[in-house]
Amino acid sequence: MNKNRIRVISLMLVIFAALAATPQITSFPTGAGTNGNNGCTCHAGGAGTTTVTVEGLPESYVGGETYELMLTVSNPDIPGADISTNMGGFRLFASAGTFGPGENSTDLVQEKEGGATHTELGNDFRTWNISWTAPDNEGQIVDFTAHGNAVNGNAVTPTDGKGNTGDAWGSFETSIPGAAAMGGGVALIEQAEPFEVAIAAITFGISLFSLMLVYVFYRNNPDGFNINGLTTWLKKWLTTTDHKEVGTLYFVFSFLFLLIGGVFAMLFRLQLAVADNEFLTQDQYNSFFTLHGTTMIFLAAMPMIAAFANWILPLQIGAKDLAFPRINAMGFWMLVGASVLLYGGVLAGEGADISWTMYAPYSASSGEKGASAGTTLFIGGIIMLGISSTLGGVNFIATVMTMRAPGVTWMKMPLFTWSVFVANAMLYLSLPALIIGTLYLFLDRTIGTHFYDAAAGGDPILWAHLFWYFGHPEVYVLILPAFGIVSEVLATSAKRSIFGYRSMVYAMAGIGALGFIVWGHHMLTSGMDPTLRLLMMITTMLVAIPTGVKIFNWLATLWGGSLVFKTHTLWALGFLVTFTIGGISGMFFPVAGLDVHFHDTYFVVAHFHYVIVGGTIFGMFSAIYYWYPKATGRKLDEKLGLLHFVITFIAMNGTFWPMHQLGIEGMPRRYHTYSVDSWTELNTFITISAYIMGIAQLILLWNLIRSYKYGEEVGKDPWGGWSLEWTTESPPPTPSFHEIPTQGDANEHEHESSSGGLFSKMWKGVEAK
Amino acid sequence: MGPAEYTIFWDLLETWNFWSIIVGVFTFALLIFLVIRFRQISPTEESPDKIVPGVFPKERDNLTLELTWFIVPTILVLYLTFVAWQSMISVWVDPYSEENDIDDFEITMEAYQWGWNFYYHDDIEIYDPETGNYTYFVTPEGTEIKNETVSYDLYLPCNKLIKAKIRTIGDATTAPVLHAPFLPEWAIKEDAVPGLETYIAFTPRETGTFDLFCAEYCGQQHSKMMAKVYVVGVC
Ligand code: HEM
Ligand SMILES: [Cu+2]
Ligand SMILES: [Cu+2]
Repeated sequence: MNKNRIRVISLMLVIFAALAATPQITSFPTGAGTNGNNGCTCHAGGAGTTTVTVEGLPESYVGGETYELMLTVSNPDIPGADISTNMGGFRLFASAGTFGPGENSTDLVQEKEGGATHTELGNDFRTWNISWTAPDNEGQIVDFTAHGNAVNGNAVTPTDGKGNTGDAWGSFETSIPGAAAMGGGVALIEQAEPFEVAIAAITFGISLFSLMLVYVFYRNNPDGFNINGLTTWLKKWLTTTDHKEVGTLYFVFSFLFLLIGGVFAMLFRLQLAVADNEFLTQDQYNSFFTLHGTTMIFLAAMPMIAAFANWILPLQIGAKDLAFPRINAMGFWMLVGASVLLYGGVLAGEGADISWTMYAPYSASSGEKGASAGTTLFIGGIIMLGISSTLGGVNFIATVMTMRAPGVTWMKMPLFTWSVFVANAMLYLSLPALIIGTLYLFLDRTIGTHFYDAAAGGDPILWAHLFWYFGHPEVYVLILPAFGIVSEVLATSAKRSIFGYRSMVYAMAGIGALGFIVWGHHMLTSGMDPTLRLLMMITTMLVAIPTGVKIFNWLATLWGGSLVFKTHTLWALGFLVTFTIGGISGMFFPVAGLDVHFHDTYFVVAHFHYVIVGGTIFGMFSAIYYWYPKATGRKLDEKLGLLHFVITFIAMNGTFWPMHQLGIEGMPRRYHTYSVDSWTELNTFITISAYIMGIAQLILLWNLIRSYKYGEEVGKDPWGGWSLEWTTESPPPTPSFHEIPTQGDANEHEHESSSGGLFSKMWKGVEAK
Repeated sequence: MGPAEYTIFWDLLETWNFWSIIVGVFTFALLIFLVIRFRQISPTEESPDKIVPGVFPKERDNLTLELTWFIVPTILVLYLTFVAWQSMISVWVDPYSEENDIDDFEITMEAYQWGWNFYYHDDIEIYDPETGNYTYFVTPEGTEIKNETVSYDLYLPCNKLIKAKIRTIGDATTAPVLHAPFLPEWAIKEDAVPGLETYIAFTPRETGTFDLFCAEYCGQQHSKMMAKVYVVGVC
């Protein structure tokens, strides 16, 4: 047997041994269906047959006016006639206005936490009189929700602690517009429907975008400005397979969606600016934050990474193109299709409202209280995204494995290429979990399977496992390329070679491996087996070590250099600050006593924005300023760049730093509004900072457009970088090199032991120099 | 604001803040020093590594340094893991195990879209110094809090280990979805999972009115799925 075979077999044995050692860990300790089969039946008896009606509601209300309402509960299976006591109860809420007891009902009906409910005495009825005073603002729509219970006469008699058996709940919902919201009222800004604002902003954006395209086309060749010329030009872009052009498409796409995702953030930050705000309805808020998260991760950050990977990776390894140009183009166009599916629901007014984590069973539910109708399309879009990313991943892995130019060996590969390679390997291994999970979800929603339905024997936590098995590697897919970019930018700006190249690569590989065994840290409060929680806590803590190694290697890179402050340098230094903060706050979660408080609060929101905005997005911005000259032959304006950096950096911290405090105070995330007045101050501050940050991105947009025409022209290597992309023209020809280049090596004449690197030194010991 | 002072949360947060500040200050001080000390003074400065396009530059590493910033963080992380471990025992120990069979107060929290039912399996008795009798605690709505009652807000006695079972209901009118009772005052939460009974345990040590939020996104009125927690009696 040859050595390789022995290695493979022993590796398999180790894996089998590990698998055999872990059967005591079950993700779902007591199994599904305990309640469904023999447990609680309370509030279930007669369900569905109870009807609740509310009479006396006006068609549209007059501000400040009081209305007399009558709420009735009836159930043909539990007629009230034969019962005299304990017949029923109710709860009535409205999104605005105040309640009180109605005519002759002071003993029977009471106000409670802004809603109305029956009193103890009121239990003996099925009809109640309630008064409702409309809010002064006539410009809104008030939502009413009533829950009614037709009790069969049983007093509260929990049998073996399982609760009342005599209940039968039903509910009722309606919405009533104020006189002004009916139309014809004064058009206040408050009255604008946020959905319409969002759609108008998107439509406006897309129109501007199309105009821009036409303008770019015109500038390209003013003489050929006719419809024939336009179609040929468009056709070229629609059918291109050149890695640079597909990269440009990815970039334009991601920037557009960065702005659209920003519009959603602006809308819901306005909603959160003050306590008890009603600017957005709950449904709007829910689908806006869902679309915001999904857009930012899948349609902005990932495609922007893909843009730079497409553009730069082949240049860095001296390849003329990617390994599978057509698959590459197909990946991009699948992404465009996916974005249409994701947004289909919003444009129809029924945007998916399941959050970017898409937790089942809610995301599998439908109907009145279930996920909104746009969810099915949305899930379809996610499946398509998965396919698109898989195609992209295959392509990058194959390219790096097979198309490196002479001299570009594994351990002489630029770090950006390394990072894209590791990221795509991770993506490639984790995506199947997401695709399978979303396929199950799609089947649950469309043909009625029950993968996530506990009552039918499905597993409601299965989704969380599948999602985070993908989701945690995914966050490293987002950050690794930024690591790569920062490594390149810092080294170039300090005019040094990167410190500890090998340990950088090992750290990346270490993060890549560890990243697969920590997913449970997102589920520490999900009812998962404590053994698994413990395991995931420890592994999560360990991730900090390779991350720390990278940070110190970057710092050491600056040592003894002569650092120039170009805009991309500023972004990379900004990255060091904000990413370090995000990494430190990540260390708070693997601690049980902290995570049971922080999970799903604004502390988590602060953490991942520090790593994703302060990490990934800052890295990408650095890359924009760094490689724009390579792609266009012109530099971006440094003054505008400085302005953009300073405003964004300050506003970013102003937006996300106070969220730590809100999290400590216990503000839950994904909340449409909050009633704790002391949270208003910080939230107002956050909203203002968020607007400043949002608007500052227009500076970048303007810079990108303006410099294309007026930027300072550059040669092959404007910043003094060493990797192969700086040896070809700016912009590069197609195919990207006239002939395949050969990468030299400044270490060639060093004697053996020092080129052996960290590990061989560890074996041999450090030799005196 | 934030969790009660006597919770384990603050001890841990203090430890973690302490180490975060040490790591943060060290890193940022180093960063600022390097940026200022090694900035470019004149544009003609030569690179010590002679960067040439198309040539892999001279490798730089230093085993001692690299091992230092591998080993020191490792020790810190191991130490923190050890500290965290203890909190795991106190937060996730099974409150229904035999050794926890102390003076406790058992309830069941039932989550539905969108609200809470609290079932009591023990009584809250209030001592009346005038009559010298114990009476059941009575809510403003007139419900006596004793074994087998249900309430929409939560009433808890002081200084007892509260053992709460958590479950969901889902039927034709409310979808069976995830929820999570979150009690910021005691810095604790756990998901309510359809088909699974989960639990939390905590001990209130001060009377007062506190919030209970739903912390697991559960649909339209997730943000309205709140209740008040009243800790009553004497402490
Ligand atoms: C030192 C490294 C890190 C550690 C120890 C860490 C730890 C954690 C933990 C435990 C959570 C779950 C918190 C909870 O929900 O209770 C979390 C959430 C999150 N982290 Fe990290 N993290 C680290 C770095 C990163 C990086 C590099 C990224 C992305 C670039 C990232 C992105 C996220 C995101 C998106 C979430 C929120 C997921 C959600 O929607 O619930 N983290 N992190
Ligand atoms: Cu994670
Ligand atoms: Cu909820």
